[in-house]
Amino acid sequence: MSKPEPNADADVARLVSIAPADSGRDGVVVLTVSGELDMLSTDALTERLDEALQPPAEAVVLDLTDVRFLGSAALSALLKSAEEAKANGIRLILVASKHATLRPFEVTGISDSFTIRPTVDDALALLD
Amino acid sequence: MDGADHHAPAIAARDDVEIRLGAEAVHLPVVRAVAVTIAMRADLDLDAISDLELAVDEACSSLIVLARPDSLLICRFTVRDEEIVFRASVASDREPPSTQTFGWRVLTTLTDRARGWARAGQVHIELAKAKPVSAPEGRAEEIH
Repeated sequence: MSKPEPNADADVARLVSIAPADSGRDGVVVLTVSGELDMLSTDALTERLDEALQPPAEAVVLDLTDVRFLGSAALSALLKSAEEAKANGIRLILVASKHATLRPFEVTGISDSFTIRPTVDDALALLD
Repeated sequence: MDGADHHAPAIAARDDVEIRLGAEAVHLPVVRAVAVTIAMRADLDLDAISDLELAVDEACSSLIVLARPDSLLICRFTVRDEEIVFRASVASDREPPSTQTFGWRVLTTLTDRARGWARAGQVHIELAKAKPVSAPEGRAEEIH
């Protein structure tokens, strides 16, 4: 029995922010994430990502440039989203360039399950 | 016994830092922040600091999942000459975390040793991260 957590949303909002950005292209959604993706805040990412990974979108670019922490809960969630995207025929491209975001993928050996580019421009260039 | 005093080793080293928090995910940022501060003071480089932060978060996250409702997460950092040791425990009747998960792979890859065990109604995780070798006597070894 857990007690109610009236501030759960506020706690999540303090940790992470997820906002759509203009890709300048039809069918391409860019989601910009900043903050910390841990056990508590990962659900917020999954929710937004699942929304984005729906037709008519053809590609989703998930910009993790400003993420300063990424734990295994987020890794599991991203792996699931990547599978879902594949099943729906939608491309999912991650943008990451820093140790804090690249390292978790490397140490778990799942980098190959994702397309990862260092910048949003590099990610968009893949879609040309 | 309310569980609040579980795992209370003697304060052998007065430099140890112990924090006690509710075993809830909302407190994870606090433990991460303490881990980062301690790693910085131990002169770990930026990559090693973020590795330790990730490992500590994984240890605590997996314990929180196992913890009895309304119980405590007790964390202790011990800075030795050669390594930083992190121990955490919760009151729980469950098995220690599976070693087959992402989380555990993160723990073992990012630290120099990690182990989990259950005993007497508590689940424990201990991990250690080597400190950089300071003032090397020879100059043969490269730091990596």
